[in-house]
Amino acid sequence: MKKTFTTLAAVAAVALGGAAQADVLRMAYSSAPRSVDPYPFGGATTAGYKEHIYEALVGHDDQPLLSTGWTWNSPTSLTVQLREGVKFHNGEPFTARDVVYSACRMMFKIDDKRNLLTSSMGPLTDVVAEGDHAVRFETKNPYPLWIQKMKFLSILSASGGSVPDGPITYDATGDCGITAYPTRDDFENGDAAVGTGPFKHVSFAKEFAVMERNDDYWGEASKWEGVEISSVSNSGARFAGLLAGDYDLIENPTSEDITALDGNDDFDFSSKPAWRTMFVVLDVNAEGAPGVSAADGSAPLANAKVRHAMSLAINRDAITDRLFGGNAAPANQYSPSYRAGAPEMPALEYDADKAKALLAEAGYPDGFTLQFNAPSDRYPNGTRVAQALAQYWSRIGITVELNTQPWSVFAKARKAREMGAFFYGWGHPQGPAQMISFAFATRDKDLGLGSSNYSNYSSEAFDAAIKAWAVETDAAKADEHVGNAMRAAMADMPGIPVYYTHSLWAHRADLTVDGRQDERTSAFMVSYK
Amino acid sequence: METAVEQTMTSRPDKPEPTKWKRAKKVFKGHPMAIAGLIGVTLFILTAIFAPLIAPQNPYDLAKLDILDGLLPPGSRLYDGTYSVMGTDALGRDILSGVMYGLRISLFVAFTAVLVGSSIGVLLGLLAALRGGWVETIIMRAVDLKISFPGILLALMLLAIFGTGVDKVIYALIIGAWASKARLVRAVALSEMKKEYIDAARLAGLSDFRIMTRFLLPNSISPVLVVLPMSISGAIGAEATLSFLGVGVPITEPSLGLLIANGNDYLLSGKWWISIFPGLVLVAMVLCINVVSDRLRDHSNPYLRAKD
Repeated sequence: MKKTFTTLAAVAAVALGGAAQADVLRMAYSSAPRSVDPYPFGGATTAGYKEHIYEALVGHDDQPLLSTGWTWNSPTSLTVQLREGVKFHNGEPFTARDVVYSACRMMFKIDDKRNLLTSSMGPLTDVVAEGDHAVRFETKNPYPLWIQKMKFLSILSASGGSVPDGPITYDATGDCGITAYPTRDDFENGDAAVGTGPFKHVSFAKEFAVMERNDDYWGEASKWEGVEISSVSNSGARFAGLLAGDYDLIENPTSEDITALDGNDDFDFSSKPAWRTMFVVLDVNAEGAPGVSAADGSAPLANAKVRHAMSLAINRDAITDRLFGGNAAPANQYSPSYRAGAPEMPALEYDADKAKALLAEAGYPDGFTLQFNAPSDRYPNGTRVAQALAQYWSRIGITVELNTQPWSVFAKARKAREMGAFFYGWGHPQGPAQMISFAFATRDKDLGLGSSNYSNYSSEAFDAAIKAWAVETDAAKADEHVGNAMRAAMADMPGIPVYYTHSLWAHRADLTVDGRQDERTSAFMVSYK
Repeated sequence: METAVEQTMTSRPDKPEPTKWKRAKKVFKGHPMAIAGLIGVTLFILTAIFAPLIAPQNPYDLAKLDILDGLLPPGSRLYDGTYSVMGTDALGRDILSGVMYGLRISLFVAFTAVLVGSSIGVLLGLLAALRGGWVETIIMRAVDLKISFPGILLALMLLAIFGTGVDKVIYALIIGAWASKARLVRAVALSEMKKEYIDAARLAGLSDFRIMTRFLLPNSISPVLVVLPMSISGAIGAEATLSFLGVGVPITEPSLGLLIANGNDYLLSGKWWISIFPGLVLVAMVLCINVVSDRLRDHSNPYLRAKD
């Protein structure tokens, strides 16, 4: 079988002219992975790179990976059973001690910089090894979310650092009696880059990373002998590299690149609905919003009818069809309707006449003035969508002044809350509830709610549903709370959902890509036809 | 107050001057290329002025655009029945209308920036020549400093600081335009300063300001007038570059450069009309201006003029 693959690949390589080493997959990312150290950095490319090398107790699909299952001893105590027979790249067996060590490392700040789970692990009071193949997590209060958070806790071999022999005692500072953790250099030169994943670290420079197959992998070993990840941020250069045979697969081709592949037999593209929702954030503050003004001095965006009118004015099908060529889906809530945990919601209507009538009913028959902000360099097709939205709102009588700025400037203005209406995209690895709890819950520092509530939205019904969800350990009931919160927010419309993005890959025609929602690119998704 | 000196300096009663029209005609006579260029420039300027009256669509009115009309090839009909000669861009903007309105912005920005920038440059150049000493040192070192900087880089820096918009682009181009004019005028003015009529004016007790405006300026300005059209075509190019790079005009009111940038993404996918038409117009306009400008320069050069 393997031989057939090799032969096929060799034939394809000759046919394509210049694609060498058929069993090494050469991918081009759209931005560079930031580090081999799995703890400090998130982001799709960093996460996509490191999941080749490291694994966690829970996989990206929230299913057991390095574990075989878990049980709640009490609402504040969870025991996770570990997979047996797993070996690290250095040959050491995987045990509960490694999990405690990794939890300690996650809490240990290097140069006072926070790690991925620094705040998410705040509710954890203890991590205890129970024998070699079980770990108990103790929390301050009921914390069902921990199961989803565990997928960010990459498991590192405890043999890598300067760890005293014997059991490791967890503490929240990450000190744990460990004399020294590996440094960034130790990771980048490979000494500390020891995980359990299907690929081993070979070399890492920011724009070029090389990995080889882990032949002792506990699961099914990869068909790829090796993986090379180049990082090319310029989309034109990335696409040209694919066409020239430098890469087998590139991520995030533009929709224009996709149309350019029409009728090209050597290359193809794959698309997968992703978890990002693109929406318009509206500042619903009753005192008025920056850049929004009405003739009578009132605050138009504080009126829910105005917000619904703005939503009604948008032809979402036209946007996804014309601007994205179908590689995006019309949105009907603040999280992709196809994501696990998202409630069933009706499609959002498009009716310009009704929108105009609703605007008049709200007291703005002649419209109002709206400064609409959009980042110019952040989202694929972003400025075009922003202009299309401005078109739709202009047609119902709103005077729209479109302001596009580079992301660096835009992000500053967002932080300073200087924008009354802006175009924004957001997905959350843990699902719909996480996203809306950050975006629309009344700000509450202690509970970590509403940290990104740029809408200044506050609703009792919404907050009650979110707070009930945060402590619910029963999955079905938790989903019900999410549904209630989502419906409450959609009824008030503090933001206008526009579309869900699709992840795109362009690749050699002899490959298939089985993409995922999480916008990552990894060798596991790619195989020969 | 007219003095005797001024009268003798400004009038030459012995030979009647040819009228301006006749002189202009002489410049272009026997140069069909230059005449074609002049006609082209005139057409472009007229189109720009009357764009709102002749354009099929107001491309800057978002309510008039429909993305359902997007990316239509040349010769299509829009939803509202408008015939689109040059096709539409992704947002349903008629390219022909976009080009007409884009011309307006490009020409307006270039003319304003060059005229204001050159006036400042001429003034500073004359001042440097007339005053000398530390005034001259400061002005000319500032000129050196400015010229040592790549123009586009300077404009990009300024726009990064001040933000984008038509007015900001004009400021950035003004700052790009003054220095070379100051240097040019100062050089001419210095040689004029050595001539006797200036000494005569000084002896007559005229103020520096009066000498500068009445004598130095008219006698030093002609080289600047000759390079002016070239500066304008340069400024048109610079504005297009800035807009192409996304730091120029707002995206809802595209100039030629931004129209080209919009279409750039679609070139590989066969939708050539979005970039090509604005690009051709830009090239044609700059070419026309340069042809006229070349002719003016040749004419102002006594050695070349002798061959006319």
